[in-house]
Amino acid sequence: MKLTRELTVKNQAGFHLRVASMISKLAMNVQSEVFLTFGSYKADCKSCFDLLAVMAPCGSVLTLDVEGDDAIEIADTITDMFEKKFFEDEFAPQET
Amino acid sequence: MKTYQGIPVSPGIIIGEAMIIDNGKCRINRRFISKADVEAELLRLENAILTASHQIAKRRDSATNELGKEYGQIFDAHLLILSDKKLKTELQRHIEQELFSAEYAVSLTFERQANLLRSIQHGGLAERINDIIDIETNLLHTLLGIRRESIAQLNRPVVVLATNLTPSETVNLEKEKVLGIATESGGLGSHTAIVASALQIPAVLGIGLFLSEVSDGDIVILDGKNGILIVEPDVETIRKFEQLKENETSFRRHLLSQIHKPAQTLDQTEIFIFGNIEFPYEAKICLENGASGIGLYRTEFLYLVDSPEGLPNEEVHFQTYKQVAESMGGKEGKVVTIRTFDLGADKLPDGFPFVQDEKNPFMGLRSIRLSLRNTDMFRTQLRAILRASAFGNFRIMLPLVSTVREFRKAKMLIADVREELYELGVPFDENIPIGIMVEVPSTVIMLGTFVHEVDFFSIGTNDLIQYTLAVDRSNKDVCDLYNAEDPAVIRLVKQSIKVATMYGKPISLCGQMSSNPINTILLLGLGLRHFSVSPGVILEIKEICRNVSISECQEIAQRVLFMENAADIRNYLKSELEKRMSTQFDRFEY
Repeated sequence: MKLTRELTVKNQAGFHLRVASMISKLAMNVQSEVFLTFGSYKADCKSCFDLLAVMAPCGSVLTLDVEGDDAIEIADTITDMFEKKFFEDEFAPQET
Repeated sequence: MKTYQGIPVSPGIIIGEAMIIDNGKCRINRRFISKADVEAELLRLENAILTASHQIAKRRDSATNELGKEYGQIFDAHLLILSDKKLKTELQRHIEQELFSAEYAVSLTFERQANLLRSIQHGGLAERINDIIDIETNLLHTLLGIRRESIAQLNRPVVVLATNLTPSETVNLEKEKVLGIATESGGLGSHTAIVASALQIPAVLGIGLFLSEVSDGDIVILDGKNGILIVEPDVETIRKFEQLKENETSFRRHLLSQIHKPAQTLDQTEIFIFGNIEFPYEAKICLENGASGIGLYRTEFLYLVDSPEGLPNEEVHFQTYKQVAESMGGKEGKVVTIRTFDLGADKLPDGFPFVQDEKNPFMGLRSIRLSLRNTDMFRTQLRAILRASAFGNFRIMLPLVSTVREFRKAKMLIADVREELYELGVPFDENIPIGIMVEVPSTVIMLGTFVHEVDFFSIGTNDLIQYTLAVDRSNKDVCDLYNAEDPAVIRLVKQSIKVATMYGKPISLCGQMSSNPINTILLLGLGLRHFSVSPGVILEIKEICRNVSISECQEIAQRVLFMENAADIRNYLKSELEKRMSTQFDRFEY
């Protein structure tokens, strides 16, 4: 299973360090390959170090690529994170 | 060739190789390892990542506790990056395939990531580069060992160049390997200055930014007398300084030939010159330079040297003090004035638990105040001093006493410890004199009260100047106000000598003021008969004493008291000194 989605960064602070760590924590624990592309830069989401270079401010559009058995579930979870502005302001970010 | 001017704190001319100890980001040179060492290097990297992770985890926990979860999460992200498989694979590849050292692999990998970030920088997220640098620095520090170890591990004699040296870095200096010291910040009276001059290492501090203009291995000239640092000098300059160095050596030779002559003035007054020491081996240096004894034995180094056990125990103190006592000739030998620990402010051991974050550390919990607050720690030292007093000619000196009450409290504590030892049948000197440092203006003002209870005094000008003139001695923006020759300071010194002498109590001056030859005539004129100076200048001060008369010194001091500012006084004293000494030596340019 392979799918691609466009996601918009909606939180004020942009794709910051804690977001990177949140997504990499998620990606590290799943089977699928997960990639985020911002402009010409494509980051492996299993690597927080890679995600560091995703310097996407509020409003930018990122491309999410997921490939693997649990692709839909993962893509949904990550989409949800973007939609909910990475849980900022509403409530404290979840520990995984 | 580039010439820099700084604050001269320890004289001597050195021509040598530069070695940069950068407190900020480490600069890593490309270094290759041999194929056989790949396994070991990978293990080294692995260990460094583990250690750095532990440190970051600690930082995360305290950040979470003190600042909240959100801050803790920043370090959480750092931890995540350190455990990143992709990062590790890349580091390992640099080591395995390109045979780079672990440090270089780290520096290369992080630098590339930082550059990538710089190229796609977006305003609000720019500070992320600092996260990368932070993680990198953590790793590099772990790989290289903490910086002070890197000073201890110098493998050849070098001139140490740094932004600044912390007291613990300074005390860990290996004398044989450090030819000279030059720093960007710091100044007269800073701990680096004191240690450098005690160890007779030429040093120039407070130069301002210059490190970016120097590389490891550059040839530099350091003139500790005039505060000059020259980077990559031309041949002619090197020749000139070699000549100056030769002049110094011959002057030194002359002084050594005079070592057995007493410091008697032309009108037959005998002056006593004591040495200031920090390390036990300096006791010998004092004797070699003809000191009358030790006027100030600083004991802080026992606390500042790295020790895995934390604070030193009584036995460590005792053995160290006994060693000094024996070097000075034991019970019938020369006097050793031992100062109880003067910790706090700029002198704090790593992880020292007793001083909280202070807004104004020099006005805070330091020195005798710290001792009286932490009596267990203080008693440990007092017991060791008293026990060692059975083996030498000791005096106890209490630092930074600012009220009579403080002195009484300390004296009671000493009496208590004596009682304890007495009951245990442990021998000690029952007549050990107890004196104080005069280094707070209030003590000078109240000296007439102190004289009834205190056995002896020693003026500590370094602190007295800073408290009188309200000048931070290590702040380069105001340190031009920090002057031993300030008329206000001279008046306080004069008053102290006068009151103590009137009541028949010995008084000496152990601050840097007395180590500077231009002040010798003035101090003699103000009535000072006991000087305590850096071991390196004992012979020079003695030579001056032999070439002046007390009556002329008094006249000069009298004129100084009519002068209004430090610069005039300094110039005047300098010219008076040159009149008397320059026919023999072309040296006094202080």
